[in-house]
Amino acid sequence: MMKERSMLLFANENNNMQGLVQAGSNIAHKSGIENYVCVLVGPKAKRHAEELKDSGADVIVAVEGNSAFPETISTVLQQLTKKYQPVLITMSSDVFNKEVAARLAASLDKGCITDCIDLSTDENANILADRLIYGGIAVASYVFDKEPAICTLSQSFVGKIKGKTANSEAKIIYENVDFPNISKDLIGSRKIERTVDLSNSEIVVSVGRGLNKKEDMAIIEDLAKELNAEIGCSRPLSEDFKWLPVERQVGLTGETIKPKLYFAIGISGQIQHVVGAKDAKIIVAINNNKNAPIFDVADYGIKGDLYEIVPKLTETIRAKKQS
Amino acid sequence: MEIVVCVKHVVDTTEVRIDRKTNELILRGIPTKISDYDKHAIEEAVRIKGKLNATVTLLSIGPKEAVKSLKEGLAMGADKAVLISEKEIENLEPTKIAYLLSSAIKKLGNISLVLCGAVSEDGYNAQVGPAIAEGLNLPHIAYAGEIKVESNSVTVDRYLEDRIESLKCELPVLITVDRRINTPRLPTVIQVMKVSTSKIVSWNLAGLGFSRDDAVLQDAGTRMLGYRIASMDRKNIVLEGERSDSIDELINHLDNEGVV
Repeated sequence: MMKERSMLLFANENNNMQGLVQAGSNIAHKSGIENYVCVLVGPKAKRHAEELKDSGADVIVAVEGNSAFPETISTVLQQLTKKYQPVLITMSSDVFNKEVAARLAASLDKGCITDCIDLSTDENANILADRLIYGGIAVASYVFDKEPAICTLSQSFVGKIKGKTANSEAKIIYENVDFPNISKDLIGSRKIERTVDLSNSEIVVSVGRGLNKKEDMAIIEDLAKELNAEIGCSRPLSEDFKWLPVERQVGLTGETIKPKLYFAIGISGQIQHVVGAKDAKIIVAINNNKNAPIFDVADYGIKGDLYEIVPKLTETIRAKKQS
Repeated sequence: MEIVVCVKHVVDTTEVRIDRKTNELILRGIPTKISDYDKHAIEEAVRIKGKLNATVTLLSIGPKEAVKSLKEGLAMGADKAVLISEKEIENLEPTKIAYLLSSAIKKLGNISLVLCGAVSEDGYNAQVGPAIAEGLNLPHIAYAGEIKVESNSVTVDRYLEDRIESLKCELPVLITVDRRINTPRLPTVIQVMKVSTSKIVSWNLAGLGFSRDDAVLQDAGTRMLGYRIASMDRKNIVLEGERSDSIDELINHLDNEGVV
């Protein structure tokens, strides 16, 4: 008899837990999983288990204890792996969970794929995972040759999956595990105050290396103001020149956004940047280099000097609004 | 104090292009460089060395050309470097690379601090740092934006998506660094040229106690089946900026799209 295929999904508190656990039921279904085990760790694990019991998991394992460190979660999952023998261990992709996944894969000597944008199975029921490579220019497919497969799921992937309606309530199990002693102390935690929220902006005006100096931001600000848009930028402006805060950076190492309208001004269009705006409805590029790759990924482009075009554009929009 | 910095020699992914005829990636002849994040790790190690009595050793698994990256790191102020260059292991998955690196760090011995970039420029897997720590049975702190080292401990601010955590940890520890941590110094071409290659030692798998067909290295957890070019289909309507009506035309288009 073939053994039952189990999946462990670790849901941490930082995420949209409900959405993730529901998405998990769909992944489980797609991957031929018969036993979907959702793992909750932390001081509120039992309470969350009750709240999530209609979210599609077959079993919810609640482990009460300190969940502050990735090392702890990885050790807990390691112990649960022995008990549940999963074919797949998964969690959402954030900084913390990628640390958990990396340590878990190392301790179990299994393969790990972070930031998966799709999961499926082949005809032999091996788990397949897709992820972006080389900064997002291509999507690579991987097969897991060993079980359990360890994956972290990109936020956009989780957001796209529709949860299945739960057939029955999850069975809640309170597990006691041995928590490791970790020679680390969390001595403080403060929220990062965000002054902008690019991910929910309707129009984003982004600027890149085509801008000659910081003072010239004024012409970009004028356009943004006229369009009621937020200002974004490519990596050199925030990470290298530090003209704008990192929270305005669009791209692989910044924000992934989905505005109605995206302006890429003086941005050459390296894939690492473009991948952050690929879900925009309309992309407009302004660049003086006619061979800039940004024109290949734009709906509309203007070839020319941003210092001439941007003020004219601002003026035209202003005049149009007044007429 | 002994500090190890793990360094990856990468292809410059911003130079990767698509062959439009075959729809395949053009990966030959692409410039290679030291992964940016690792440069910040070297800079941080050199700064710590400036404050405490420390020796900084660079460690890399990669092609022979990785010597270029190591020389750059040595010119920045690291003391010595170890390169493990064997064809068989270049394309191993992150878990395996981390296992080899942790074996090499054990061989170096008596290490107080291991620094890595939070991610590599080419892979962005964000796995190797924490996985090395697992192999060394050490705690780790990832995405550090600030590190204060004392003789027996570190205090680190690390950046998550929504918060900054301050952590105190006894040495030894592994720390991965974010790009906000510092601005790496730029050695001149002459400084890099002047670095004596005698500072770079080569290790092989046998020296680490592995054979080339070692089961531990052969038995990969994942295998890449292939890739497809990410689709980015757009209208690609390009207007000449020199024409006086191009801006009006753009605004008409945007109007019709219903986005302004």
